[in-house]
Amino acid sequence: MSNALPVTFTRAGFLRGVRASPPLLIGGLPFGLVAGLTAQAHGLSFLESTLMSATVFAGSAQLIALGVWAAPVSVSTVSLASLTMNLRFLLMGPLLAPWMDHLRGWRRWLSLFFMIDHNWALALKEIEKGERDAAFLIGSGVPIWIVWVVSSIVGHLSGSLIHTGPGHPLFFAALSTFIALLVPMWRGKSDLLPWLVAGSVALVVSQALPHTAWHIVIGALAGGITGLLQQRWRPS
Amino acid sequence: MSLHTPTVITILLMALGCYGCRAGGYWLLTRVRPSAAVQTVFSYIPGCLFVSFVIPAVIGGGPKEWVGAAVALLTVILTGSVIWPIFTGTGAAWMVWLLVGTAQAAEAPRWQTLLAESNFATQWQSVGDVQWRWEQGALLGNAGDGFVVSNARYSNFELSVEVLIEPQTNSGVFIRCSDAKDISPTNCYEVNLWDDRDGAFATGSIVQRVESATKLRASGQWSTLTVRAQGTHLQVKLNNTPAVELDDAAHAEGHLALQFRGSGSVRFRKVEIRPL
Repeated sequence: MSNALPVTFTRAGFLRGVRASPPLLIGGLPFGLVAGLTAQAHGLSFLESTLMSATVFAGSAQLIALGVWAAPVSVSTVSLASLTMNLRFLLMGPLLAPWMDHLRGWRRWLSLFFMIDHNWALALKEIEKGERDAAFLIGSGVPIWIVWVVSSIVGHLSGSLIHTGPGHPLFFAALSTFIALLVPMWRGKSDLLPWLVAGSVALVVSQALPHTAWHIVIGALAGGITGLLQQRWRPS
Repeated sequence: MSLHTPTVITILLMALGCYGCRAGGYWLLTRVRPSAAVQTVFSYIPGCLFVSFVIPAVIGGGPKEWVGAAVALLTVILTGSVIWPIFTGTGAAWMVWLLVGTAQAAEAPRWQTLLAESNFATQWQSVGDVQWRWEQGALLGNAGDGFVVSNARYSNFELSVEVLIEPQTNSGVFIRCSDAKDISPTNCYEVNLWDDRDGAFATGSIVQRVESATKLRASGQWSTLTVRAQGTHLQVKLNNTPAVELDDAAHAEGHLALQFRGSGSVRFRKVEIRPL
């Protein structure tokens, strides 16, 4: 893509991003609480839980990882499960090229750290409208990051106060969250077969390899490949 | 407040993976355009990943998960909100949990007291040279090296032990011991109680098998150690904090043994068991 006007990175652009963020903050709050609470239930210390939220900064990846967290932690399966969840970022980054191509050094690489689904969608709209100030992405990402870290801290502290074991229904909140996020992901009939395959494969793998996260990784890949095959055979 | 190395490594790998996808996607895919096939597979992954988590968790769960999932699903379909289902689903799961808990409490096998001054001579034997003695309702060991071993053998159970140790005390709870005269981490599963142990397998760990992810301490106050053994799955908690879980088929049943070795002291009381 070529740009008629130069891309800028200004304080004003940052502030415009900040002003666009409040609706996204309210949505993120319960997920942060659930992430902190779940981390506490799986024996992560306050520092570990906070480190995770601050450096990973990806709700669904954290919840998936914590969902398969066991004591002692399996480094490979947990990291892989969270990585798989984040593969979509690979496809999102390039669409911001009209801005990123014109940024250098920390401005570009820090901007990408603050890219999550919601502010990415906002940024794309801005790019389409012809907005030239790339600081918008960081501006909308930083408040989300702050709320994310603070809400997971509050979640962890609440977990410590309540003193619940892993079987406690409070931790069903993580599963509720997944169901809540899953439904809007439904894009139509073309999702039916891939989802069925993903769920069935995951169920079989979870029985074969209990207490691991492989069923999530393998199920997701099986579903993705089914989607591809279905498209090849029955282009719609 | 602590950092545990494998946990921190996992977190940092997750962070690296996340940032790698955020930045790497831009870096790589602005240079190499992904094929349409790869893009299609990727587009299905988020939904399929959630399905792969939810389906086994719901089907493998119990009434709490089934009802909670149904209510969450219904809420998201009816309201279109992604916030409300978290509360309604969890609330429904909680109600089922309370109901099931009440029903089970009425039926479940009762906890039995295993260790008491009255049955100590008839149901337990001392192995080794510790001079065990009773003090204020608790069994005290503070010199020598040895065990008290149950005469009875147990296979699937939940065991709860209240214990008071000093930081340097080397104690432990051994389960499913094959030989009552030869108690060792090899012949049994040894749940360790040793706060100041250097290196691996400190308090909460199962010696030679699995190490506690978090640094747990039992010393300084009465602590409750619970061990749940069902089939090949073992679960250890200290003061209701999960310590370790283990899947292992080496020992299916056997004696219970309580240990004291060397310095410090150990006191045991309220040693109770509930068959599963």
